[in-house]
This record gives sequence, C-alpha cells and structure tokens, in this order.
Amino acid sequence: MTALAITVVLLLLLALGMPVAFALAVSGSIGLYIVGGMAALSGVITTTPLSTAGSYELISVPMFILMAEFVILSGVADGLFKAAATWVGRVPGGLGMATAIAGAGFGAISGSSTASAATLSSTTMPAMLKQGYDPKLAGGVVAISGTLAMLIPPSIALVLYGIIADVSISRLLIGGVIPGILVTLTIMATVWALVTLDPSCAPRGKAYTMGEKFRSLKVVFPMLLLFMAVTGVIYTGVATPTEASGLGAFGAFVLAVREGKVNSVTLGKALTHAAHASCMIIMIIVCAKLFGYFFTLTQTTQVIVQWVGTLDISRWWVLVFILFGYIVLGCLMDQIAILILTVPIVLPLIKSMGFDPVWFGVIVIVVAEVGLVTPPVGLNVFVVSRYAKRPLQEIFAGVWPHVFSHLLLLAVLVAFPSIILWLPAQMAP
Amino acid sequence: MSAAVIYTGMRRVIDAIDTMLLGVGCLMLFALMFVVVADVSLRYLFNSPLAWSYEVISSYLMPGLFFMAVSHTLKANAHVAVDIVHNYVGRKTRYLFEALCSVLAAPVFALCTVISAGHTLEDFQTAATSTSGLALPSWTISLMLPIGFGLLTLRLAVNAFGYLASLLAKHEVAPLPLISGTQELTE
Repeated sequence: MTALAITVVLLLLLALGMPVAFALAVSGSIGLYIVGGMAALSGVITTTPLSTAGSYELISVPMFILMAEFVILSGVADGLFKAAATWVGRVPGGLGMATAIAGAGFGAISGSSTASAATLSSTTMPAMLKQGYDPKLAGGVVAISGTLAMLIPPSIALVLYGIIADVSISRLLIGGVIPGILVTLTIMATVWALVTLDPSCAPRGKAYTMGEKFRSLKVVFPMLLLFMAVTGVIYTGVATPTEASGLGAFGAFVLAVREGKVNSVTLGKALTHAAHASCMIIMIIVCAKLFGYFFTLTQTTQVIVQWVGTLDISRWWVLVFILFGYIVLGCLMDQIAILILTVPIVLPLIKSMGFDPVWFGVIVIVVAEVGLVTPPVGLNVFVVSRYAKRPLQEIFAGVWPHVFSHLLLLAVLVAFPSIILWLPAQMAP
Repeated sequence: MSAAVIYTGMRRVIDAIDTMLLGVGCLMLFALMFVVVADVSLRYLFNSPLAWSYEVISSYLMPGLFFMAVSHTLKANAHVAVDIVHNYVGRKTRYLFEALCSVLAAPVFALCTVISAGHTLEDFQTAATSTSGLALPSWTISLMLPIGFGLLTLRLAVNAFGYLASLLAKHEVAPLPLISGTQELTE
C-alpha cells in the first residue's frame, strides 16, 4: 500500500514538471522514512550517492558523451552524408537512403542520438530540400535515422541498460550491431516504398563518376579508426567497454585537434556539454537507487513478479504488454529516464519468464527509438525541427511511415531472438 | 529592497560559485579521459598499468565530475523533466508548478547536505582513511557530497524564492525554464 502511495506521489511530482531525478529523490526519501525511519534514510544518503557516482563501470557514460562532443567538434561526420549521397544519390529516394547510411555511420562513432539528429539535420536536410524533396519525407527520414546512434555501438543507452541490469555491456553493444544494420535497411526500404508510391516527392539526384565516388571515401578512414578504437576492441576482447570508451573519447579528441578545431572556447563548450549530460544521467541513477532501496524494503518488485506468475496468460502476451507500455511511456518521457526508472522493475519479471536479458536490452532500445520520434515528446523530432527550421507537425507527419515499418521490424526481432543474440555469441569469451 | 534585486543578487553569488565548481568538474572529466587512456596503454604496451588509477577515478574524478556539476546542471536546465503538462497551462500555473517543485525538492537535498556534512566531519575527526591501497583521508572524498548537495539546495531555494516572488509580484522576477522542444538543444 505504501509503495503504491509513494508511486502516486512520484507520478504527481513528475507531472508537475519536477526533474525526474529530483522526483525520485523526494518520493524515495519519503518512502524510506516511512518504511525504515531516519536510520534507513540517512544510511542510504551517506553511502549511495558516493558509491554510485564513483562506480568504475559508469565511466563509459561521460566518456561516450565526450566522444560524441569531440566527434561533432572535429566535423569528420559532416562528410558522411556527402559520401553516401555520391554512391546512392542516383537511385530513387537516393538522398533519403544516404541519410539513413549517414545516420548509421554517425551511430558507429557516436552514442548520442541527439548529437546524431543535430548533425544529420544540418547536413542532409538542406541537400534534400534543394533537390526538391517533399519536406515531410526529408524531415521524417532525418529524425528516424538519428535514432540509429542509440542502437549501433557505441550506444550510451545500451551501456546504461547494462549497468542497471547488471548484464555484460560488451555483449549488449555487440548485440546492437545486426539490429542496427536491419533498422538502417528498413529505413531505406521505407524511403524506397514512399518514393515508389509517389515519385514526385523525391526527384532523382545527379550521377557521379567513379573517381568522385572513391574520392568521397576519404571520410571513411577517421571513422573506421574510431569504430575500431571502440567496437573493434570490444568485439575482439582487447579492451573492456570502459577502457574502449576512454579510447574512443581520446581518438575523437585527437581527430578534433588534427582538424584544427580545438581551442579553449570549443574545448570548454564540449566539456561543459558533456559534464551537464553526464551529471544529468548520474543524478537520475543515484536518485533511482535511493528510490530502489524503498522498493526493495517494501518487496514491491517480488510482489509484482509473483503476481504476474499467478496470471494464466502466455509470457508472450506479458511481453507484448510490457513493450506496449514502453511505447506509450516513450511518447511521454525521455528515453534515458525511462530506462533507469523501469528496468530495475521490469527485468526481474523478464528473467523470471525465461527471456534473455541481452536480447531484451536491445529490444527495449529498438522500442526507445520509436519513442524518440513519436509525439508529443519525440526529442529527435524537436532537434530536427529546430535545426532544419521546419515546423514540428511536418516532421511528425513525415515520420509515421518509419514508425510503422520500425514496429514491423520490432516484431521480427521479438519473434527471432537469434538475430540479436548470434553476434554476441561469436565474441571472444 | 525589491524581490527582484534580492533574487538577482543571490543568483549572481550562486552562479559565480557554480561556474568555478563546474570548471573543476570539467577538468576532472578531461583528466578522466587521459587517465583511462594512459592506464590502458601502459597495461597493453608495457604490462604495467597505473597502480593509482582505479582509486583516483572512483574516489575523486567520477564523484567530482558529478558533485561539482550537479547545481550548474540545474542552472542550465539540463536535468531531464517531463514537462508535457507545461504546454497546456498558463504562465501563472507554470510558476506555481515550478515553485512547488523547488519548495518540495529543497528540503530533501538540505537533509542530504546536513547528513553528509555530519558524515564528513566524523571522517575528519576520526582521521578515517579509505580501505584500499592508497589509504586516502576519507573526508577528502566525502566532502564532495555536502559541497554538491549544499549548492544544489541553495540553488533550489533561490529558484523557489524567484518563482514565488514572480507569482506574488506583478512582473516576472525569475524566468521560467524553457519547455522541451523550444530550447536550443545544443547550446
């Protein structure tokens, strides 16, 4: 009963617009005080913040965020779209497909989908609109392509899931590779279908010579370097994800220095952005832990798991219900906050039903990608709308076909877990 | 003295302290990157990792990055919130919501500050040291909590004052935070 009342308090505070972390701290503190008195509350306050913020595994979060900042600063990703457009720009909907490829490429060197959407909007939208693309089609493909960074390693979201769920981060990151490629192909297929239905919405681009095509590939070298510094070393088992995140940030920093983009102002800005973003995430984790202690004391999670166990329905229906819940939550809340809030409660349930936690992690991220582009809180759509200076409604309207095909792919990934689990199984033990 | 003058004065003081602490936090973040890279390189190339890296990272650099930046992150409006409801209510109601949030959150973090300050004082008086290899004085680590939480409490209190004053006065004393989607996300 107390757990229910405190959860209602939490929801009320969230509805007031209190930062998620603060709402967790306030409701969790009240709950802990009710259940365990001042002794329990002060015990948690003196130990949890320091032990959580000082957790060694958590280094990957600020490091991957810093890497994304340095990648943007270096400008190496700006040439990605041009290179992709040189190769596929001539086919129907080519620039839209090039956007998806650029999104995947950016995702392979950055774990932040906001950073990806911002970079993609500034490079791809003007090119597509100049060529006469329907702004809805262009905005939609940019918004959904930006979400690929969340799935393709390095992914900050997958690292967080790994930390919260206590699942191998290496296996999670590698598990994101094949679904990432499939999502990219799905976006390309959706663009192709849209252009086939209405060829006027995407006029064909100009043709390039083979020489021009190969010259455009010079952007690939720094990208491969960063990709190998992170995903390569994780896959081969040379370094842990924590070490790889440091190497990735350093590699991106070196690239930014090489490009002559680093000075005291730009460095200060990149570090400040990364510090803010890291602090925001760590604050939610710290406060969620505090709230989690309250849930542990009241044995809420066990009660939920036991209750679901007594239901006479298939585990697949429970899964569908959970995923539907994630899609609804994704429309209302920030994806990172959703992960930190829900995974500690949902994962024990998922495990008790016999589902693989690595598989579920990747599935949750694919669902979160949908949440990034659905109204009213589709963060990526906000980013694209702001950078491309197009109305929000237009981008939301353009993204629906992608949401539909994304959900179809989600169903395939749910039905065939080996698509996600095969590659991690090939890794060095 | 008008509420606006008091609010601006208090904000300036907190902003100045926060900017300084954020600078320290950013330096810690930058140092973290170099320490991780140095540690990995030395381990794989020369088989001799830095003996102190683990402890320095988990005792100082990571908590430092967090506690030194926590109040400035609130200033930058970078703590994620669910602000959908704010799209559908008037400015007065938004001020009421913001005031409520700050008024409710400030005592919780004040409590965190008091409890953690007591803990730090105890560490100092007993000259406790960390149990791992470097035997660092514990108070130098636990001191970061009262600093971070203390400043966060002060900022929440100043915000609460500004929002309440805006509600009562005829003009807006403290600006409202931007609603998601209306802000410059990279600025």
